[in-house]
Amino acid sequence: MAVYKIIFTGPVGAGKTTAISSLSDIPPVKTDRLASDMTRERKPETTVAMDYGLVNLANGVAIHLYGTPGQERFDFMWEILVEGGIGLVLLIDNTRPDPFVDLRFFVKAFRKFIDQTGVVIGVTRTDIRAQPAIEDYYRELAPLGLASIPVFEVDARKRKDVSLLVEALLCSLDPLAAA
Amino acid sequence: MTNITVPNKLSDLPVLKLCTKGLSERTTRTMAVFIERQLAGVCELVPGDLADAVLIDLDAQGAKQLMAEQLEIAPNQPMLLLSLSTLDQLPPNAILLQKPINVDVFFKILCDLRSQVFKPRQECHFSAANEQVLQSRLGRAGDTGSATKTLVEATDHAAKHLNSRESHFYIGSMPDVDLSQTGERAKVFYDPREFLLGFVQKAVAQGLEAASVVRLSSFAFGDIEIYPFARKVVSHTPASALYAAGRLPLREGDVRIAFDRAAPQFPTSEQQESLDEYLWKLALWASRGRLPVGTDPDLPVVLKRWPNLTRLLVSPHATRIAGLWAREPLVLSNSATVLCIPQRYVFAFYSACVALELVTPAKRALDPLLVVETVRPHEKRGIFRMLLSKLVGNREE
Repeated sequence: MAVYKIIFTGPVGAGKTTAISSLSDIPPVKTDRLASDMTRERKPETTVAMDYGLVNLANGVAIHLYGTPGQERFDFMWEILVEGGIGLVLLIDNTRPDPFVDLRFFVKAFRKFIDQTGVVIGVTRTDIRAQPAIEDYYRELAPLGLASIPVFEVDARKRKDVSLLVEALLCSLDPLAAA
Repeated sequence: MTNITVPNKLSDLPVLKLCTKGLSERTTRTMAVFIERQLAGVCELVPGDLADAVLIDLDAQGAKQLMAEQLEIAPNQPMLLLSLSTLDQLPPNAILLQKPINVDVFFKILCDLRSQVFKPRQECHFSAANEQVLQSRLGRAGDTGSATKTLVEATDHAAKHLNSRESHFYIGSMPDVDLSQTGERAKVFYDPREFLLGFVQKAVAQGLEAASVVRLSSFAFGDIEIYPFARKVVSHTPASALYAAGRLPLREGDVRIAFDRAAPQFPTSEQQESLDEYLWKLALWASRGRLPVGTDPDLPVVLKRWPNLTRLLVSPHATRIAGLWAREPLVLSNSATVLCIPQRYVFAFYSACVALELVTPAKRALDPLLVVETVRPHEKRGIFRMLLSKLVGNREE
């Protein structure tokens, strides 16, 4: 049976693990470990392997949700992880010193996959820091040729927010899918 | 009274969201506690704009007016009417429950209403047994028949209503219009300036020009403070009143716009609401599936950027319409055809996007026009369809 995957990526603490937990039908398999480096400042534990969740559909079909490790030193796994993926959910932590650096880094890292599939961006922790605003993200994305992708404020703890983000991903890939 | 046991077959249904009108604050609170204790998981009280059904106390002062307004703003929404007397003419979507209220009958009606509201119509019928139970519980031979009939009719309407509940609260029920017919075409337009939407937009513009906080006042919605630079709104208007004020035209003389130069203290985050969120919902409510006057439905439109949908009222098929318009310019009048959805969903979404300046007509001759054939089906469309169905369910939980 074919494997369908949605990849969640973003910097440490952006909410990938939480977002997968919000959407998954099974308790997500977390592989968080105590962080031993700079990531500890942002999150006591960080994902050193990968998070995994599952959305069960009819007839035994399932969508696998994979979260990439948040630390850059694990980016060697990303290419394998995205193989056969439907699209990318990029979560950006708005409280980081320069979220646009993260944005550009992850877009660049996944560029090939994005061009082959699609991407949506969820900006998290906007309740703690409101700036940059969503319009600012669009200004950053325009030169990258991504001005028409969905960018939403997201609370990764809220299933509704994460569902809407993934829904937008699917509708940007095929608006007629639900017709 | 003993606790009501909810039948297993009903336990998986969503909670019936009920709003009340004409009840005093104390009665509403008591009813909320009552429902919370006795009907947890079956029914809950919510603000008007979130409700599946409305409960109106017809013995309250101004209740007839409340009912008339309710019928105007949501003609098909199920109503549960409480009254000491009978009514000569009962609206087709209404159930009359005569006082003194039999608690068991009240429960039964709410449970039945819920099952009708959330189950496909073909599965929704009152079994003979249920009717007998209801009749026996009503315990008044003279009017049980009519009460049951009314209940059946009303819940039947409820089923119809809920089949289209996605559109009900925001989009109205305007049928598709043949835009090639001049006479028909005029029906699809509304003038935002005549609605609360237009007054808020005008107030924002004036506030920006005068560098001042602006206060909108009216009997219809009370006071609304607008902070144009921070793009925040503070409104103490109950959700149901705001909803009503947003949908009905207002006269110029009904609304007062004043500058609040005393620089009121900036509202706390609990009090304030995003101006974008406010304008978006007012546009959906005012539009009711129509287009802002001056729109050319034959011009292609382009979505400049996606609306921040997680923080906005999500209208039916919003993600699909946005997905389509974000790709390439598409003639507005063709969008509904391409997506196989009613025109009103497209027009309402367009209206809301206009309010936030998210759409623009693609006037340039070089802008390619999207045609149905160019939307190539994704190779995983089948999976997308299944997943979308589940995700939309998640959203509505």
